[in-house]
Amino acid sequence: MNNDRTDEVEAGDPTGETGERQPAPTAVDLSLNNEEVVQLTRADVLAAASTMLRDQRHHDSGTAPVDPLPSPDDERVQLQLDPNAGSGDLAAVDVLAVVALALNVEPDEIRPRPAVEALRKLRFTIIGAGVVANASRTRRNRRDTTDEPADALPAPTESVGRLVPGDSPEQQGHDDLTPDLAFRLQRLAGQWVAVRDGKLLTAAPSLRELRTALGEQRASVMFVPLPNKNRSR
Amino acid sequence: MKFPFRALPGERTLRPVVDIAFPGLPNLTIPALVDSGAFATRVSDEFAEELGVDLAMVAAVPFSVGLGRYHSRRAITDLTVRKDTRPCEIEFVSGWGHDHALLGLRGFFDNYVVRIDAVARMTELRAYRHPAALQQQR
Repeated sequence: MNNDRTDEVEAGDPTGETGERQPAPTAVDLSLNNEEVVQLTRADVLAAASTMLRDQRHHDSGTAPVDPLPSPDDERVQLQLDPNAGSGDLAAVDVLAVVALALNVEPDEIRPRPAVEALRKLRFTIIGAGVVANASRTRRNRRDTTDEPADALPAPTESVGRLVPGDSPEQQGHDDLTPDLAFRLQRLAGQWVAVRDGKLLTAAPSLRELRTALGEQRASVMFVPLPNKNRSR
Repeated sequence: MKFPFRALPGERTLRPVVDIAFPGLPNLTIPALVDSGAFATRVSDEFAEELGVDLAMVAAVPFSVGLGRYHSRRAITDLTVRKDTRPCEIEFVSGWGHDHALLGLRGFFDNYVVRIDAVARMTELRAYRHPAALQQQR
């Protein structure tokens, strides 16, 4: 044992088993109906929620979507949760829809209870109050198509509720490279990219040109590998 | 220092990724994969050019990652992890072509105690009091 090498713990950043609050996970595993386990990420849920809100507003108003959309971190992102919508197969239909959209699978591939539990683990808050404005329409739309097995319902006290983003500071815009952006960067294969707060700032064929384009802006920079490039992992 | 797992470009899988920076390029951070299987800490040699690190007289050392073969040149350069800046042994790799730096045994694991919690998806670092590069010089 080398006693010269003493661990240095930064002031204000205690480590170990103290009472420090655990940050929200950025992703959780979710088991589908076919037992396949997939990852549900917080970023994908927020992106899906934003898309659903835009579509819902378009449908309700009969007008084009309003741009820009509210930030997915905004509390205006409220998804209706309707676990007591008559029968188990229609439960939590909107939650299923948003999770399905986030995972890019069909809603009937997802079971309600694991979906709700996954959303809770991602620190989305399910508020057990309020009025579901669109549940009947959603039920009507899904009645002919769903044959979801009657999975157990979420807690009955949450007969009606809404889903809002949680308050984890780690998830509120501090990541330059969000999972969603990371996935979308594939189209820039072979280039250097600069990203910040989940947005692409600029791209260039060399690091030098990227720096020139960036100027004094702060950014995370990386090269996007070509598809056939061997990965280091 | 705690770092939630992150995705790298082209993937949705979350991995132990830590942002690093060079003091000479203060506005840029670089995602770096924590890799205890890597012997060295490696970045693209384009960073050496931007930092003004002269590698002309440094011998190129061959190595393999995955199925790829590369050449790197080694230099001791200040590296920043969050607020901790210290001299680290860095290998600047020609034609690296990956979307991340690699944080390996030399240059990273010899400077930090690393704890990877795959369940909580969190990487935790504690800095050694004496940077490894300074120890080597003693």
